[in-house]
Amino acid sequence: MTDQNHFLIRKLHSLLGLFPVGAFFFEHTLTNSFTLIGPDLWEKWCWCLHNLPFKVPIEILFIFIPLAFHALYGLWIVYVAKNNALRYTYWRNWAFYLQRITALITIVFVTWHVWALKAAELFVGSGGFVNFHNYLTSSPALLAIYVVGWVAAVFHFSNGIWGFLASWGITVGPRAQSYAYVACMLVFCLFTAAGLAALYQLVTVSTVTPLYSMMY
Amino acid sequence: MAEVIRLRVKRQDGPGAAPYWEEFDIKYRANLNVIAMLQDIQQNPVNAKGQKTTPVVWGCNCLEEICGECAMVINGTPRQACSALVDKLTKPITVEPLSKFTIIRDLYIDRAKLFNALKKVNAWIPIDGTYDLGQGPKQPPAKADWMYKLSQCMTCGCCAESCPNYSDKSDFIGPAAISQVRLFMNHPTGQLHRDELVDNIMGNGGIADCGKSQNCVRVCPKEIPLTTSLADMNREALKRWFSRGLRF
Ligand code: SF4
Ligand code: SF4
Ligand code: FES
Repeated sequence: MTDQNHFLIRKLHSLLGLFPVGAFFFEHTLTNSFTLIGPDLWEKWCWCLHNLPFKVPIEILFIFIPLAFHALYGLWIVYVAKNNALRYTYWRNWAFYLQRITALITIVFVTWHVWALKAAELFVGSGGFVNFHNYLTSSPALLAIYVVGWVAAVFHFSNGIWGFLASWGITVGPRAQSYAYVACMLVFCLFTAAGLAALYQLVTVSTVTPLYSMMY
Repeated sequence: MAEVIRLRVKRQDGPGAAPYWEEFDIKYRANLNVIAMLQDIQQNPVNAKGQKTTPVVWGCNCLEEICGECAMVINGTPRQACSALVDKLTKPITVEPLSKFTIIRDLYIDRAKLFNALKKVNAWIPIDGTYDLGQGPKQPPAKADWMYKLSQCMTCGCCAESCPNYSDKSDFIGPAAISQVRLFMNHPTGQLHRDELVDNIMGNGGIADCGKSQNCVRVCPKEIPLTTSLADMNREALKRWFSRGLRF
């Protein structure tokens, strides 16, 4: 076994999942959570992000390329597994299976999400919050897809952290691994709650009160 | 008490032949195990319908969970037939050959794939020389203790059978060979070949192909801490990768 690249590619796939893809996901969750403080603040924060200096190279280098690599090589990993969760019903084996299922859901969801929102240009100019509110409330199916897509992405992210810790030899023993799992599931709960709360806010609030207008 | 136990066997007449199920009724006696049931069939190859049939073929050798030869899927779980006590199994008992290997006949499988994996990673310590190399170095008892556990692997293939990443779709060598590398690279004499041993599991089919489903550790009849071996070798492989990359 002399092919050196295999190890590099596998480890790169694992690392990119956490950084920058996971880090971006964290930032995205934080951005969503601004809706909880105030739609106005959320809009302004989105405005900042949309007007970041070097936005396009940042998007391409730190989001698009790593995400595309993680997703495409990940598809290969999904393909080579012969799932047997019905025969070996241990929870870790189910998590292994769910990691692959949520990978597929996330790929489809994220591609559609990015493509549809870029095409709709909801954030060009002002009124992003109300535009997005109208978009999300336009159909219950659309909202349901958002909920499913979100929970799938969060599971893939938090279970992925657990996998990262084991496959980088950080958590070696079974007890270290199960404590890490508890921590990762806390991350799962936290991120699920944050995302669903933001969706709730976007769906139920339809007007933007300029709470912070005095600051500007 | 002339109790009979129903045994369902997944049979196959040769490599690539179509599998079929055949049932047998075996007379119960105390301490009966699955191998003894198969031996009964061998002596009297008559199925549950009373028809004469061919004896069921299987592999066994040590009869005490040492050789690894008698691995089969018993009631859905890969394990050794010699240590599968009838008293502890739900009835009827179902036995199938391991599905990840070439089936020679019935329950008898070709384990060459497992041994080839051991050859691929050099899972041994080269001690032959042209002169007497003398005694090997001593090792601390605490270390000898956990290494002894790893040395109990009998290459039975139960772990590979349960592993979702071990199949003809992938080159993955399976957890047992990786755990053996951990054993030999920590052995006081094996340490001399540490780097080569780690290199051997860093290619295609090596350590990076484990998907951490952890079935292997659940089914291993010898209770070998496979997932600890895997995570530990992940760490060693990373250290080796950085060291290699920064020294070239
Ligand atoms: S690690 Fe356990 S299950 Fe795997 S081959 Fe060795 S003894 Fe069998
Ligand atoms: S932990 Fe790795 S080696 Fe063990 S069953 Fe899962 S994928 Fe296979
Ligand atoms: S006969 Fe040797 S392990 Fe069962």
